[in-house]
Amino acid sequence: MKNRLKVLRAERGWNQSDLAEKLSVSRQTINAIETERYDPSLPLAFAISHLFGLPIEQIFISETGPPPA
Amino acid sequence: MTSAAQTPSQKPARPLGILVLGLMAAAASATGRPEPESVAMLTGFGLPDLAARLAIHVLPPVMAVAALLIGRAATRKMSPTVKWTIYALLGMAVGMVTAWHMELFAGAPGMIEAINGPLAEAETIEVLLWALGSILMILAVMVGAVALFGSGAAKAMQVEEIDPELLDVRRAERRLYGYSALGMAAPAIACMALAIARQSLPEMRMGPLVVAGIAAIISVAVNWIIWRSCDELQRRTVINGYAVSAVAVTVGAFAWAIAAAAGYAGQIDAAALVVALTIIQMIATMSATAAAMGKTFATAQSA
Repeated sequence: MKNRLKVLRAERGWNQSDLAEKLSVSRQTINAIETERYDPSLPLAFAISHLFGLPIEQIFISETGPPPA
Repeated sequence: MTSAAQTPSQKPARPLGILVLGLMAAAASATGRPEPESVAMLTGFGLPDLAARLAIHVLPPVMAVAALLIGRAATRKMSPTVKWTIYALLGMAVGMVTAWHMELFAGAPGMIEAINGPLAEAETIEVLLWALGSILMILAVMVGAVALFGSGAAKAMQVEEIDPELLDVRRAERRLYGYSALGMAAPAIACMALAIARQSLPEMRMGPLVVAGIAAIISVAVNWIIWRSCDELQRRTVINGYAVSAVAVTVGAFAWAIAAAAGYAGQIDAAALVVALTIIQMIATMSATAAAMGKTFATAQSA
């Protein structure tokens, strides 16, 4: 899943360690999410959403699109 | 702690691992004793005895550096999993050639025999226990170096150009690295002690078996502490490793059972099962870790 984590983090002047500390995860996890090697769990995605003050869908971009109606 | 210099656009960290590995191989080689057959082969080509011995001592660091350079060049555009598999195969080849020509840590058996009495010749399972124990101990030393010296040690061990933020080991993270080092050193000691017990005289087995048992208990306790400290990605990596090893060993053990029932194989040795389980779990965990975190700087930048 694509995401804007790297851009949002850079906009705030945070490095990966800063973001990891704020979310109580390892720096490797932030790196893996940013490089799209790992999709976070729903609780972590919500924590990221709350931290940046943005809805989840503005941070994580689904490559499959919405489900059929 | 915020630093604009650590945004993703900064330059890749220059890897020093090739130099460090060469020095480590040279140090290990210094503990070794060339095999008489290899010395005889070289003197047969007309080399003086001293030059032949020197050439064999120089072989491990030269081969280690060459393997890394070949690995880097050959795997530049490959996925982390394929890349580290090729590095592992090259490392195994270097280890086998070294073991063929030289007995490493030649003084160790004498020291063990002085404490625990004479040791029988190692058979296949004992050789595997020694090899596994040695690999785990080397990994423990590497991770322990990161725990003690932080980013400097992490940078010194990289063989690829990677995102420099991955090398930024904070003081708070060193504790977990320390536990990880202990979590590798304990099973290393357990494997080696078990090998010593199997090679010892029956009346001398209790000591090494107690050491193996205590080390195994410490290993379980430390792994529990590490598990409690892991975040979701780290836990998933561990679970992936265990899942792959459980399936592989179950299938392998079942195939063995069929072969044994058909009369083509003997009874399986519990130590062999431990070795198989540990090796598969180690490879699976490393592969999962490489897939999740091992992105090189070039691929990270293009993402």
